[in-house]
Amino acid sequence: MSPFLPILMAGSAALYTLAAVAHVFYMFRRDFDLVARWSTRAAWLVQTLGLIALLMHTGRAPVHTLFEFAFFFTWLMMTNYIAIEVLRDNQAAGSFLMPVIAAVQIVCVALPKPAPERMAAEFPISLIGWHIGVTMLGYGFFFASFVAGALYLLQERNLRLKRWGPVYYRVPSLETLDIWGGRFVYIGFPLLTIGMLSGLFFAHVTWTTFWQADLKVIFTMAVWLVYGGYLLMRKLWGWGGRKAAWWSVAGVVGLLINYFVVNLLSSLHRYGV
Amino acid sequence: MQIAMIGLNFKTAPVAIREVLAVPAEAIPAALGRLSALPLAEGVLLSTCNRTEVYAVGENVDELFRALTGYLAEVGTIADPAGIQPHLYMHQGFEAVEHLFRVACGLDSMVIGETQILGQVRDAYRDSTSADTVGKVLHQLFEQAIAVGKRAQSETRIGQSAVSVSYAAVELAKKVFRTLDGRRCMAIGAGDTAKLTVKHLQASGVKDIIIANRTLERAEALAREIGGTAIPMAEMPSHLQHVDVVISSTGAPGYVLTKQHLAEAIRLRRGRPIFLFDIAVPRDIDPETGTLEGAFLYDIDDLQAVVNANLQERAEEGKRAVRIIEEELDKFRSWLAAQSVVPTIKLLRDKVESIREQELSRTLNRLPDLTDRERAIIEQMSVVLVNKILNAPTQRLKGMAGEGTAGEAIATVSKLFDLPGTEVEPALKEGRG
Repeated sequence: MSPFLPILMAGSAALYTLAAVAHVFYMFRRDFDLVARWSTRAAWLVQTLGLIALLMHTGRAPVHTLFEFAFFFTWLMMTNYIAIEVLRDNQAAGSFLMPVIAAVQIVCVALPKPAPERMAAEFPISLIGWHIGVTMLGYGFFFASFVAGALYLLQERNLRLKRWGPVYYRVPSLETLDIWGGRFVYIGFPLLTIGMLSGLFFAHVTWTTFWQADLKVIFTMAVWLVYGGYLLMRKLWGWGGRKAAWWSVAGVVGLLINYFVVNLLSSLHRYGV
Repeated sequence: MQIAMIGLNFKTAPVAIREVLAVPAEAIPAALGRLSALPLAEGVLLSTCNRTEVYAVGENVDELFRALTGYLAEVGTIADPAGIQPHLYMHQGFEAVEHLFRVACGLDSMVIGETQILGQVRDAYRDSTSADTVGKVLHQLFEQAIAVGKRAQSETRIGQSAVSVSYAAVELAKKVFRTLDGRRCMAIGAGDTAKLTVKHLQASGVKDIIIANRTLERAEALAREIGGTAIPMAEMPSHLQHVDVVISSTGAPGYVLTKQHLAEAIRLRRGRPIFLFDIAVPRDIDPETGTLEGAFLYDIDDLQAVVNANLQERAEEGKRAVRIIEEELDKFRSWLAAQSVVPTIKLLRDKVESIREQELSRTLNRLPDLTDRERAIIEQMSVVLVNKILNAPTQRLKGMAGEGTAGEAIATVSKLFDLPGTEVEPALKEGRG
């Protein structure tokens, strides 16, 4: 393991934690905007260096272990977030995104990191592309839907309780948040479906069976049904607003449990842990 | 050369003084005529209902202040200038520059961030320019002040949040609805604030307006005036399900709109949100309706609280505008400093240019057989030669001027190139602060 990597990881986890705390305070007090903004940018920079160190060390796509996938995934999310924060001069989404990112980062530091030599040969490249890559993309859209939903709930609360904090001024209209929360699931759901189907396909090729009674497979089915139900209700019953927002928040909680808890209990998806 | 300003505004002078010194538009040319008669190099008069200020450039600050005080007394036809003295503020040097920048951003206004003042600064500059009282320095100063004001409006949210109750209502509705285009609105009662709010809503795209009133005639009159449909009060509850925004302002003693009315409407709306603004005192809408899901109820105090929060928000954005002002102040400083080397650079260029012309004509006279094209090429070469040689020293001098170290270099350049007696024009002296 490269000597820099643990330092950079711990550094980015610490900075993300600071950014998360500052962003939560920013919901109520405007003075925290600068601390929140710059700690986030610094954390992202340190994480980028960490990712480079990781890539140089392993020389492969960073999706082979639980840790690699989570580290890379949060980096992708943050890259998008920072682009929005800089271009639109708007850090309202950070109040919800940052705590989740910080939590994932801290778990990342604790996650076991198996020797790369063991892992390299086990995954065929197309599995990484279709199964892991596409699923990751889907997760990204579910995360975006979560942020839209959380902002919806906060802004609705602001409007109902007549609280005019800093975030009130930066959040788009409830209707816009609702529409985008839905759109993100519309995009994420087919991606998750493709990811799951490709997993079944590879199971068929590798073990000549589609179905392995694996905890992860079952739990992912449940997540798939949650989001499928969300889309169905939206489409058929013109459903939306507060309930949909809660639904997409709950969906991401499910995703996180699926990833960090179920993976460790699963026999197939342990990533060699 | 010195910059000075003197003036009074709503913070320093009561309206009884301000109204005397406010110069109406038709009297501006005459007032500027008097300004140009004063012993000063340049001057601009800025007069609005909230402030009257004069900016001037001259040789001596104390003389400028004295002349400008006398001038203001004269403009207001006040016999004794000492009477307005306590209400005046005076700034010199970069303090005066900073003051104008703050004014242009709306930081010095009664309602922070209002944009009207920027137009007034622009008008003042334009009027003074056409009266020929603006020279090089005030030209730069005002052009830059207008740019600062534009930057503050576009780069910060200083002028964004609503500062009146009727606009606050529109702003709140926009926090829920993506757009107000094609939305429906109902006015219960036909009060003035309701009318104003409805007009703002119409300007934001609200299409159908329903007006419910106890006396149908008044509703019909208002409907004709702003374009809408009048209904009797009894029909009001049945229309609730079709509207997205309700503004209530009747003089009724009890609740006109009850929780039961709205619960029924919301059920029929299938959860689509409805906005209720109750601007009547005593209130028209049962406060309990605000607890229904999908109902957003605001009374007059809530709207006033939004306005207050918005003013706070503008003040916060003002801090970001101050950063812009500091940047622009630095720019003005370097421009002004560069002015100290302009005469030297001009003399240097004139001298070299005259040598070039002399030598060029001599050379061309000695080569009479050249074609026009060849002559043009030689001339072109002489121009390029001169420009390339002078480029570095010009840039260096300007750079040194920006850092305030050009004095010695000006003397050296004058000596080396044997320039006729250049006088070092002093850069503006710092203000008192």
